Amino acid sequence: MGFTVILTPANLAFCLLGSVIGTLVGVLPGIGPLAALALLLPVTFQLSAVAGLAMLAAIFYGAMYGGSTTSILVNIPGEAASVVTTLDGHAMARQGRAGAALGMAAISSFVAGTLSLVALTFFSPLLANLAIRFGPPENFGLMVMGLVCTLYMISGSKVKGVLMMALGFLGAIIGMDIVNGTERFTLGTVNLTGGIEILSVVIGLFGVSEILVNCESITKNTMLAEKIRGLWPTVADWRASWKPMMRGSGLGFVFGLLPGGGPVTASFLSYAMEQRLAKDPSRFGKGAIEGVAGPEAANNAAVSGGMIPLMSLGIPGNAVTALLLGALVIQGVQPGPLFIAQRPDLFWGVVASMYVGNVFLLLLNLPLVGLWVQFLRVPYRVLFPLILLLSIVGTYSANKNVFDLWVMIGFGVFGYVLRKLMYDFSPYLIAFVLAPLLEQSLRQSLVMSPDGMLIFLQRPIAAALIVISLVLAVFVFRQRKSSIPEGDI
Amino acid sequence: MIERSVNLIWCLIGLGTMVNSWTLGLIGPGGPESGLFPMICGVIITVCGFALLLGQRASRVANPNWPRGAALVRIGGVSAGLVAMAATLPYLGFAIASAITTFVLLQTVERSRPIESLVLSVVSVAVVMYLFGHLLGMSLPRGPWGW
Repeated sequence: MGFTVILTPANLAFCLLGSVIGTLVGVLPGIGPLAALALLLPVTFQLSAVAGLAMLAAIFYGAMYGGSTTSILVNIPGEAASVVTTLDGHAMARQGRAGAALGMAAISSFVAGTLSLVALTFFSPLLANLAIRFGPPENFGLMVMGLVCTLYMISGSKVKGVLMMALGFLGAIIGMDIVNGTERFTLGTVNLTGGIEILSVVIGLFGVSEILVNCESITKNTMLAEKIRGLWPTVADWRASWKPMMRGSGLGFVFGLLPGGGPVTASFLSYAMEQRLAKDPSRFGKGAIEGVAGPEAANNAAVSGGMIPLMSLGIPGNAVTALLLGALVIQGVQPGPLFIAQRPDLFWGVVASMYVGNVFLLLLNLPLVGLWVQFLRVPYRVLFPLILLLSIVGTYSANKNVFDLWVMIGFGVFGYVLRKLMYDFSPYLIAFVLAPLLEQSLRQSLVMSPDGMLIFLQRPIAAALIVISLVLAVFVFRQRKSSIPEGDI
Repeated sequence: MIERSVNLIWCLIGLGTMVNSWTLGLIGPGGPESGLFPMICGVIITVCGFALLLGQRASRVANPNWPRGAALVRIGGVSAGLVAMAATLPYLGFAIASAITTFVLLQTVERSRPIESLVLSVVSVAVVMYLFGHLLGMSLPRGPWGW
């Protein structure tokens, strides 16, 4: 069914467009996939749900492909999940092996993307069938566990993470309470009666604040000038890479599945694992192709893994899938256990688009790598006006209300300050998107319970989820500060 | 100083949320009222805010790397540009407000040459208007001259 849905000219065109934009976003430092998704989210208003989701998903995994190009050639990661690729990828480029590094990065991404999609195809319906048996207390417990896992994965202060989460909840409930019709925190202004527009928040926090960070300094790129040749890896490269590729695929998929995990965590862990398993770990950092194959496989596999809790449970595990959830909600679709049963065309259409998108990306990133390389020569001041205008148009397009622009600017400037103070925005966005569901589950649970909050302990699955959350919460606050950067991609 | 101010803001937001939530009501005869969920949020924000405000110096960000000099000018300029654009958009329309703002920003913040700034501004606005206004059919605000 999925391929029937996606193999129409319009849907294929938007899938291809998303792949191109994603690769471009990945190649260009200065704009990450999250900012790009935020800026292009309004475009999906005009598209069908399948086309819009296919395009957004393609941008996400396309950026994973494209990020390796800059990492290898310029030693600057195009996006956060490609940081580790700079270590060995650029070293290979300095040794005259840029082609092999680029080729192996693209092939690893393709193999991992395809394998993880097969797993997604089988796991998602199984998980959804299980979750259909969940009632409001179980849904509440699951969301709480997901939020605690998110805290577990973020780097830096956990107190700041909890604070961001609570602020996200608060931001989402501004407006009219749909149960009682009461206005909450509207400050007496009509503009807030409908709540804060998610686009203003997302574009402000992730788009405008990123523009402000980039404006601090001018980055000069020193690109390796050699003509890229020999994209196809040698037999020795294949022999060295196929096991890291498989391990990276598995690791990335599992970490993408976990709330709070994602491509960045997966790529770092894959690199660490390959270094540990290598016969000669000293080769890492000096051009070991395993250091490219494993992490690139991991970051792509994590994308598909992250789609499973989103599509099957309606719970986003990281900021990007939270944004995709927002896109679905805007389209009038509520992901969750009933999503596959109620909208099989959309679910299987998106899955099929990811298969197709992976093929597009392999074709875009191997033979056309020379074209992407040229984009690296574009100075930031040429892109800067476009990014600024996209932010304005994107935000304004939601409600045609200038108030949303003021909200965007406020979140952008304050977001910049918070970036300096090492706040992670992922918990804010995940909480903002989950808040209506979480509150609904809480209220429904309390209404159906004669014993109040005890219902969460009286139902075995809900109780187990709450206990696991509490145990994880204890670990979260005992955990030392991690040095792995995650969060805003 | 800035970090402490931000932490104080969190405390004030948390306390304000708790007070407002109380007036909305927490639990009623029909079950949870509108104020229950925000009260939980308010308590969490207040506790975290005070934890950060009163926390040890070691837990604060050692070097936030606040912008100075030219960097501060660039950031201030972009922020002011965005504010100017939001303020003038309803009166001048998208095309003119955007073109002026991007031209000024490219001249002042990016220090591009005048002709380069003009070309980039006009081309950027044209591209965005074509993509969003024409191809995607989004209605963008029009100015006094109809565009």
